[in-house]
Amino acid sequence: MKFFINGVGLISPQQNTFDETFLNNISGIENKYYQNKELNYKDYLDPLVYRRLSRLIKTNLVSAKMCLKDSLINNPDAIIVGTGLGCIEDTENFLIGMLENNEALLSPTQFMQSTHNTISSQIAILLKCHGYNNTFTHRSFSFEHALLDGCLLLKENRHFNILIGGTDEITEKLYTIIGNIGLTKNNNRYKQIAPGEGSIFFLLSNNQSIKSNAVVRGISTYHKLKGDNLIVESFILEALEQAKINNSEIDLMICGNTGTPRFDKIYSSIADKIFPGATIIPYKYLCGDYFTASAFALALAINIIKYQRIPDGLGSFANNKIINNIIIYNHDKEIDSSLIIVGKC
Amino acid sequence: MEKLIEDLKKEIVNKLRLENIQWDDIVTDDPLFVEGLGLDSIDALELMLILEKKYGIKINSIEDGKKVLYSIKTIAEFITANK
Amino acid sequence: MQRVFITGVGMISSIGRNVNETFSSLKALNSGISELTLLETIHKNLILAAEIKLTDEELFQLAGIKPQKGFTRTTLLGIIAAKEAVQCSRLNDISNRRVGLISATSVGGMDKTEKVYFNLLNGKSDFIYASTHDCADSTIKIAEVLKIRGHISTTSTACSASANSIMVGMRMVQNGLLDKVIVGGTDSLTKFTLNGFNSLMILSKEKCKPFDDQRDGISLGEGAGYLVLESEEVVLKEMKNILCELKGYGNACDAYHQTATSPEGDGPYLAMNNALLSSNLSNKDIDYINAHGTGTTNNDLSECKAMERLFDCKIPPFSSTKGYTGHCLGASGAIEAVISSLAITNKIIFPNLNFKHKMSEVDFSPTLELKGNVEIKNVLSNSFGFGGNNTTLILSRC
Repeated sequence: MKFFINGVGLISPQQNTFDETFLNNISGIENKYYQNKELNYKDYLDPLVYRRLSRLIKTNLVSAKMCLKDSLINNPDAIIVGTGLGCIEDTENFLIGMLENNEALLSPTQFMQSTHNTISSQIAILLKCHGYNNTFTHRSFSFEHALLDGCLLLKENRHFNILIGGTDEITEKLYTIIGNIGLTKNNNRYKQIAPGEGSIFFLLSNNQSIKSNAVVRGISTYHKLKGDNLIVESFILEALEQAKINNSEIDLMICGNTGTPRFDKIYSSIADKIFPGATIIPYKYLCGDYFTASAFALALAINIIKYQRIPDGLGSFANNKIINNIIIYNHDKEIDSSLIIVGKC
Repeated sequence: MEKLIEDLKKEIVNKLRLENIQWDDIVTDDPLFVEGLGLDSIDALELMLILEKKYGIKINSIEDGKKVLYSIKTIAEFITANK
Repeated sequence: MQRVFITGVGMISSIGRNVNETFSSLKALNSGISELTLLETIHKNLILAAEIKLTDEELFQLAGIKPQKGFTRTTLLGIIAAKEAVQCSRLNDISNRRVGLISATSVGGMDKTEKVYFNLLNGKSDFIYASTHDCADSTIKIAEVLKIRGHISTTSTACSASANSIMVGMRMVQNGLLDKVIVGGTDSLTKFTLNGFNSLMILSKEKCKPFDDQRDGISLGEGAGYLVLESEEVVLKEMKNILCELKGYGNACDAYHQTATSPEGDGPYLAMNNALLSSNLSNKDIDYINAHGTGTTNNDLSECKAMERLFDCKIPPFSSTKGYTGHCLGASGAIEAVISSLAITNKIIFPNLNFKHKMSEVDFSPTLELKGNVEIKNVLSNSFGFGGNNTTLILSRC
């Protein structure tokens, strides 16, 4: 597998400029949860077009446009989005309206925008893109499966430039519910990275161009059934074998640590066992914990490979050593494990 | 009627989030859909919702809605007639 | 690329708890659309829907699971249909890592979320239902019950969701990532979707009338449909019994409006055309179209326009079976794929129910009577979702 990433569009709790200064100044968490850096939508979208769209959809339209601009592509052949929870704000508003008003006086706009595929289809409407369009909604695999689907399309040779996105949003009410079920810092059960959000797009292509930043070399996901033993080591080794890459060729591990020792220890354990020479960088403290946070990790990996440096403050790296291959490893309570392997072009 | 027309124009700009339009720019007799303001079918439904919420008048079908919502004038006349 | 075959089907809807019952209802022209008796809603006596007349307790029994918290109605329907598909295909190695599951849903666990939402928000109770809300929950629970250890995933593209999960599964087999895959979708009736479609004013006041000139909207339904797909290599090696072939697919975006299809049916036309291209078939090779045919003024006209364009006005026999099952949203693509497979294996075309008046804009009408003993080589099945997510599948006789 070797597919080129020819563009990135990023809106996240960190700076939105995706260049050699990315993450030189890291923004800490300002609120109870990580929120996207706001931007002026008027600079990117026609007010008439975006007037009824929710924050999540607007953010994704902008991120998609940024990505296309970065890749010098006007119209992709396909659009695939991964989102764990979809348009939460519209879902909440419609649901609460329905419950409070006894199923009367309900806004069709909110319902219409609550479906998960609204993101990918609004992008298609904006671009007038009639190509393949799909949305994956499988928790922490959502983005990986969107990326995998894109790779399959390229392998099938019917498409050449694919816009792939990973996005989720956090709202006050969602944060409250997450807290109530015991998954935030306020509750003493976990010391966790706070929830976050992001809208990140990539242009995946069969063709190398002057804009090519990195290549995707492998994607793997593994769901552990209840009662099964975790076989992460063999899962990772299998993925490396499929990507035709030796574990010694991995220079960097970008890991989804969430600040919970019980679940984080596997990252260092795997690093010791399989990637002893690699530098480890956790990423969720930069963007928050959410189902499609691995899209942020991929953006980080691409930035590192493109500029051949790790942003200040993220970690140390031997000078003049070339960063050839990066593995992004995330797991959700050891039940869902996922890998993305990225390399230099 | 004048006050009602002014209220309707403000309501439309506000609820439909027509950010780059001032309420007093809206021409009372001009069509709201396709031409004029160029609103669409979802806007029509949202307008029908405003009529129900704010003025207590329920329109039961999109067909009926099309006639009533032609222009600010027709909406104002409909509300006045159905109070 | 390897050919992909359907070796098992399973389905539950308002017209049957399994495929046999479904087939009997289809032949007897029995619609599942009736008054709501289970869903508690203010619209209970105002609209009809294709509700499955089984309580959650009865669904637990059918699914073979002890009644317990944490299972949504959507999940139970999915387990029932997926189990049937697996039994039908006689899968004996379901826990092999080369066997996967791609499922779809649009409502997910909303049937429970809408009941307990304020409890979740206020930190009172029902916390288990915070984790059953999302689309993946039903997929994961199906995998747990059936012990599927290979690749599992979930698609959610509104009304085309399970047509897309079938397509994704097929491509994973074609590309050699899986040998076998269980594909399909599930959706239950919820106040959320009922009120949602009502706010869009596209719910029919009676039973939906697909393609009728006086059609006035959809009749919502609930259900689940699953199919087992296996590669040509595996089917030959294991000498599997084949129901039919999944010949091809087409996925295209209408890119026109969030809730309306373009007047000339661009997205539908492209999806159908792409499906023909991917199957190496011409428009003359299609013997029956299982249409999306929801009964809305917009969809049915756009779909007809698209069919006119694709078939040069020589439209093959077509019908929407939503007059039987209602519109099962995310599950509809898979449910209609199962029905299409029944059409092929039984050589029957199921009629379009509730039709009285030909549409004024076109010169053709759907099939109105049950037609038996028909040579059906290739069926084209349409699923057109909100936002213009259009997917067409082609199933073929072997």
